[in-house]
Amino acid sequence: MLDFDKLDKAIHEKGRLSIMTLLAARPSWTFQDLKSELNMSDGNLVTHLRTLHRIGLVAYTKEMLDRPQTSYALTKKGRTAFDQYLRVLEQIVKAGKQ
Amino acid sequence: MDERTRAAEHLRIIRSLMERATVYRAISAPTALIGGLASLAASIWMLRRAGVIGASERVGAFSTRDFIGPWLIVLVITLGANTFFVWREAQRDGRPLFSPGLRLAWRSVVPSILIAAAITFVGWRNPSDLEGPTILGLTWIGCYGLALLSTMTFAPRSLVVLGGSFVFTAVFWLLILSSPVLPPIEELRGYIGANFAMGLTFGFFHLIYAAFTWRPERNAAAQPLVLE
Repeated sequence: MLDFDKLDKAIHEKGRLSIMTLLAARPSWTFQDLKSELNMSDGNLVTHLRTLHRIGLVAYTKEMLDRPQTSYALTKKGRTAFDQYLRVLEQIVKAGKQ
Repeated sequence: MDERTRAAEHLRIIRSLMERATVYRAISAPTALIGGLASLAASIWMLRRAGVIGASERVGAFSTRDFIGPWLIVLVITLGANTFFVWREAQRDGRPLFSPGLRLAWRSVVPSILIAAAITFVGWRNPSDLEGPTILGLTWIGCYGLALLSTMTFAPRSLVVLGGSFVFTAVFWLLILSSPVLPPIEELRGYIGANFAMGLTFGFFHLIYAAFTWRPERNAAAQPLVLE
């Protein structure tokens, strides 16, 4: 019997899941790149990133290039949580097919 | 929506985003088709001009500039087509023209392109060098192959194979030209040899690549990613 409570609720939301997926695909993403890739509004993206940062899944660095630029990356805890989340999702889908 | 349906939907999102973020095809099939046809046309036209095709005798020597000019036109046509196709795809997906993937690809290929551009400049300044077209043609072929190979960490396998084919051809051609064992093959050098090599690689190889990677327009029923 599958325990759906094993799914990380912080990741189990489309917007945050998409952010976590992109951060898992490359070492880091700038805010602008995340925004253009996901077609999200500034406000929505900031809210999701703050949530993920608050629970320790995402870290950010601020740089001063020709203008201020913030880059985001998964923390070690974030990568582990994402891998775990993927495993549970796969189990759910497999169980559904059987 | 039950939890299993939702899980399947989330896996679809993950897969789609992962592919978009990690795989970037710098050359689309339509671009390869147009570039391939333009290259073949240029190659055939230049070989006809030299009397290799459709004439009973060869026509005199051609300068390096005679070689560079038509191929620059082919480059402009192909770049124009590529820009159009990238723009159209960006419009369709609601993404900016200069996507992170495009910028990453550009950063990877620029060093090879700069080398090719510098050697082209030197060739243009020395138009009377009869070996100029050979050197230039093989440099372009080799540098283009290296540019494609430089994207191998995020390019699909077909593009890596295409890049490898260009590099292999350039090296093989050079080895044959300088082989101490084989008799000299005049058709492989100078203006004629360079145009043969360009037609084979930029023309024929691109057409093969286009045929293998051509996909029908995206299914209109495919679900887009909607996050908000």
